[in-house]
Amino acid sequence: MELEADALGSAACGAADDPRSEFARLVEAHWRSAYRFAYRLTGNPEDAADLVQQSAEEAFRAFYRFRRGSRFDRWWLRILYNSFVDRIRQDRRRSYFALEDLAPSLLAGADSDPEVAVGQRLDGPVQRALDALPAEYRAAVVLVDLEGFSYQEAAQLLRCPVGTVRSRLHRARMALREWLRDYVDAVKRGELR
Amino acid sequence: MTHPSDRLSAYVDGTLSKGEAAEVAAHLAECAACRETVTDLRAVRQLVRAATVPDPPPELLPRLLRSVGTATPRPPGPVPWTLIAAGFTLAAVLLARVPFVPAAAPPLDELRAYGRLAARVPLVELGTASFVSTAQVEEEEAGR
Repeated sequence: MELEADALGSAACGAADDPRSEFARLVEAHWRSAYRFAYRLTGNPEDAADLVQQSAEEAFRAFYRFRRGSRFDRWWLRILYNSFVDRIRQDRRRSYFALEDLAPSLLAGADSDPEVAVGQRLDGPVQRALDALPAEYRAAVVLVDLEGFSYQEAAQLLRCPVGTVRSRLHRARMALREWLRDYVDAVKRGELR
Repeated sequence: MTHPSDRLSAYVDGTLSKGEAAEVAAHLAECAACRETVTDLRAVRQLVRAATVPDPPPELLPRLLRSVGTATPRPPGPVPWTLIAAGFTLAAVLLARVPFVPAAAPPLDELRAYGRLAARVPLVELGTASFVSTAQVEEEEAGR
């Protein structure tokens, strides 16, 4: 019996030490939030799934650098964001433009009248508005407003000063305010929750 | 009157220091435009938070786990130490051999002359240039 207990014990230790099973366990626990973040960044399910897949592979290759005891989800999201930024850079057409250059016409369909907006699902218009933001502005909104990051945590992930997060967040929200004007007014009237 | 601009979003999020928050609050008491902006910013945040994301495709998780099964981890284990040891050995061997290796590099003057020549020759002509370089260098040296 003792021998059996020992064998079980060492098997359990072996499983805990094996980076593959440890990584698989962490992926299983956090893949949904990785997908949610990727979807917010890319705006569509196909690119989101690809991005999650690519970042999971990169995360696994770099897994030995992951500090045990720190938050795996934050670590993975950072890798995911970096992969996303690399993709954006590869697509020169979308990489460099100022927030001010964006025309509200990018948001075709987001300008419905408030009557239509009432009771309607917001996912479409809001996601389209988010998509129209430059990536680094969108990331600030997604991290702080949707993922519940503090400004400091977002700054760490985005590798920029906290003041930059604050200003990007504000400018992004000001743009969303104009683009989603009818919805904003509906919220203020208490017609949308 | 200076408007607090991006401090308004930080105010809405409650991330300002007590002093800054008090300044913004004092400004809001006097500025209807900024009060309106603050209300709008709250509504925007609410809209963004309310928009949901569709469920991930169910086949994604098995795909992720499969890729973990096939990807190669780069473990920090014994590999770097073997590499370091190999590096030291190689360095030791090279150091020991240095006095016996004959100098194969061309004289510095020759390299400089070639550099001056190359700087004047367009890239497309470099192929030819490398053939005639010796003659030209000699001319240049003679003309100096």
